[in-house]
Amino acid sequence: MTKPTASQTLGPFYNYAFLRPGEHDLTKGGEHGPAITVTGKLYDGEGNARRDFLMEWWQADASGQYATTANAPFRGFGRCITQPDGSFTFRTIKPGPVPFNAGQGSNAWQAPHAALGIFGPGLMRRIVTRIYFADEDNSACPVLSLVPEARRGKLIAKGDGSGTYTLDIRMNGEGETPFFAE
Amino acid sequence: MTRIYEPFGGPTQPDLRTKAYFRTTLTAPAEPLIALPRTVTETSGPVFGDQDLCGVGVDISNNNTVLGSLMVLAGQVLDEDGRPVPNALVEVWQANASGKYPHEVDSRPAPQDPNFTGAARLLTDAEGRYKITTIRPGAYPVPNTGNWWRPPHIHFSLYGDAFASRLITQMFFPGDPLNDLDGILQAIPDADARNRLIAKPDSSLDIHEHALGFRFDIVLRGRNETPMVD
Repeated sequence: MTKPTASQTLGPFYNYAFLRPGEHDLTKGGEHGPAITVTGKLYDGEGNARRDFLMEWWQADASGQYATTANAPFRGFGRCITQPDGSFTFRTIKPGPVPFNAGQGSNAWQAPHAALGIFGPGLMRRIVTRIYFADEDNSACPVLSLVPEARRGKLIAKGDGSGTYTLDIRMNGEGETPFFAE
Repeated sequence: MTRIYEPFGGPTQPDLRTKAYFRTTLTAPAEPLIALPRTVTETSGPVFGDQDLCGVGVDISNNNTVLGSLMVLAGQVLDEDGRPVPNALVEVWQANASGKYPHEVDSRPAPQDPNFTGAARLLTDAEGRYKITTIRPGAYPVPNTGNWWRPPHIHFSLYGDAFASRLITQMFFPGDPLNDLDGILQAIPDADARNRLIAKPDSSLDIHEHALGFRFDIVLRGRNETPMVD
């Protein structure tokens, strides 16, 4: 068995290399559910909004299935770079609930969520968090319940009732977003 | 068969918070990372196809019009069992021969190269292999660090077969004296793990009297569970 190759920082000079317009829009292959927008700002430990961080979004479709081919109607993946004001935006649909540990004896379901990976200058490797939705039933999610209760709200985006959800992410310091071990 | 993803970290990975790289104190989470069982969210991952290459090719030398020492760089993308990872999206980017990126944020007064785009994009083949043509990038100083120079390096972004196998890393060149002084490479505690980020000269990739060959293999997270014996 070989060890995984070591991670190295993304650095600041990458976005010419692989980001294309519209990669933040998961609905561009056609809408397979009501479209929503998820937006927020990314902050560091001093409360500075941070630009040029790469944010990657991975979610199931509305029925809770993850895409398994490049030609899937809904591919579930998007990415964007934080803007000069630290903001990020994804256009997508609401994911369905997904199994917790299918095949491993658990019948529990995870509440609708997206996995979010963050790379950037000053991050030696990816940090990973999740985004849940305030208008879903999050009370029985076995992953959310791993997060100390006082911090769970930092993972839950609040809707405005017309399809826009907002959640800021703080990488470090007061009000820090919960991050998961990889 | 279930895929296994061991916890990521330890001495073969850089710490999120490292003194060697000054910016990490503001971006590394201070709270403990929360242990997460591998669920379908982590063991599934985006799948890519030719439509995602967007016309970006595998020739950073731009048909040998870019200034610099021409090289062929090839390798294999493997999982932790040593099995090839086919159809992995690989994105490559680098500075030009004078250590300048074609990016508005790179304000250092070093010359741009009008023929240089600095990027390649490909899917690995059925054996997990990739091959690009490029030029050896230049070293460059990191601003406001007391004359820290990044050694010549090439950035790699890879998507394997799961969200958990995502990797962004950098490849370095053998024998460069700046490697031992680089705060980013040296943030990896384990010497063998650092050495695995250094490409190997490979004469089988040379193009006679034209380009030098280098080999750089990459191991992504994930291995197959050992089958249970009844």
